Amino acid sequence: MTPLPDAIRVQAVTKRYAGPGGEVVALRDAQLSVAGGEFVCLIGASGCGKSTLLRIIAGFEAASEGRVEVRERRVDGPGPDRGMVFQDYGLFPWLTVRRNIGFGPASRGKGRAEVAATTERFLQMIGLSAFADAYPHQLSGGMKQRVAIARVLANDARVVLMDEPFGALDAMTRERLQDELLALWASTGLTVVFVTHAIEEAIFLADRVVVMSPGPGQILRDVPIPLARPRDVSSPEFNALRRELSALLGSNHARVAR
Amino acid sequence: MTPPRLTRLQLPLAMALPLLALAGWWASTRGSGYRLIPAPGEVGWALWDLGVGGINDDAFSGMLLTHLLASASRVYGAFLLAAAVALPLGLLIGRVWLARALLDPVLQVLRPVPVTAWLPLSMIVFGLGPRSAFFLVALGAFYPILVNTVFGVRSVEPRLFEAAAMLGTTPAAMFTRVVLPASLPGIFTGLRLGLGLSWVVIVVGEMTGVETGLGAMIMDARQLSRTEIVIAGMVTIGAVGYLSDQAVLRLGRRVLRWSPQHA
Ligand SMILES: Nc1ncnc2c1ncn2[C@@H]1O[C@H](COP(=O)(O)OP(=O)(O)OP(=O)(O)O)[C@@H](O)[C@H]1O
Ligand SMILES: [Mg+2]
Repeated sequence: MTPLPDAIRVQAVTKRYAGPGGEVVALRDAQLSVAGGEFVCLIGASGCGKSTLLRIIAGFEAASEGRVEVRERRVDGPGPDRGMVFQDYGLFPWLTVRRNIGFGPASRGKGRAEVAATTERFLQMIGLSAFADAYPHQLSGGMKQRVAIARVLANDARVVLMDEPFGALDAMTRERLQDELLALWASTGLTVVFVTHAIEEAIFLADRVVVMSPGPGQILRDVPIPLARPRDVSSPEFNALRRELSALLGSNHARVAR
Repeated sequence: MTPPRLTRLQLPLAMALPLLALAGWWASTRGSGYRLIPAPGEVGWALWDLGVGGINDDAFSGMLLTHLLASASRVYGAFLLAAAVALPLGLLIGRVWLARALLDPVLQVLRPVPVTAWLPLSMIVFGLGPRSAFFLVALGAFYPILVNTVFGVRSVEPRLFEAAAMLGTTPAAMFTRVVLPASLPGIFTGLRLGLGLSWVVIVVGEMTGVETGLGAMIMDARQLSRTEIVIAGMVTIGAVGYLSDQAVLRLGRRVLRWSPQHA
């Protein structure tokens, strides 16, 4: 395999917020490289800076120190090369499913015919052709999240950042969407950074699980997941990883690695 | 939301209180002799005479349409003028910090001043007459439209700006692609309130120095102690105000089909 250039490079990123009781260090000295086509999960206790890191990569927040490069270009704001999928969907309520999916291409000045063709293709890919003319408030949570994913892919994003995208969904829908996401990822060669609270979800999806620890937020450990897909959540190997990650998450106050 | 099972009951329920009030009114004005309040039947005849004439053949007969058109043209003219000023101003104040810092305090201080308090000043500036009425209506409609537009713009979810930005929307395009559609519900509420208030204010505005208009008609009737015409005028205003509001509401439902609060 030819070594691909890193799709994402986070170098010594620190993020400080001005809080009511003084400064909050949301993220300290974070280092992270994600190869092109890699699927990385970020996991860690609440408040350890997962969203902050993702939002800095997305360009919604500026790092206080350090730099972020995506596909060898320095990030200095949000851009269509990095699609973001939010836990609360962030669909445009005044647009139909079709127009939500076509929003990116239309925004970037693509012609009508091209927008229509792209939209159609992704509508089919997520299996929502029958709901093309529905508005977001008429969809279930799972359907909304499918639209949110399609909207990012329809916009040619090569890097997809997902912040607990399935966190608000019931277990069955969540599993369905995990499978669908993996299929999409495998067929498109996307680079994915996926934040989750759920250890199992991380092991099921990721090539690598990056464990973060709070107070102040930092990257604790990088755990490769060498299991072949599709993964069997009840296999001994899966369980061993589950135990390893639980231990890391449970005891990270005691030993913050340096 | 009305439970679907109960929609059949809506009309009878809506009619219950008015019919009861009408019955009470009728009962209390029965019999002969001097009364301060005319009986419902007299008001009905007055309305008929105002509309098509042929009963009293006095200065009021057959004049309803003339008065109504005069009032309606002022209401819609002034409302459109108010909207033409308040909408862009509201979008600006909601979106641009400098505009907000500059204009918002002034507008907030002027807002509690009731429209009627402007009447003397407006008569000095615009003279006694229709122009003054027009100004008052425009002023009355201005604030609800402005305030709700600003509110609509200010309450656009920040998430939607992020979503649009990561999909490649430029800051300049943000206004038409996100701000405007997202604030439509607020804008619509403002337009609806503004138009409703216009019908309230027009009557006050037309009460002095105006020849035609529903307010002028009511005032003339009052001076001649034609209370049945006063009430007929009130009924007319209620009816056209209601119809006008229904029209706006219907338009809103079409435009805001996407909004769960309006669909
Ligand atoms: N805009 C902000 N202003 C001030 N502090 C902030 C801001 N955003 C985040 N923080 C702080 O930064 C820290 C990390 O927050 P972040 O949202 O990244 O955590 P997280 O790992 O995503 O948590 P969760 O799992 O609950 O989503 C928290 O202590 C939080 O209070
Ligand atoms: Mg978070």
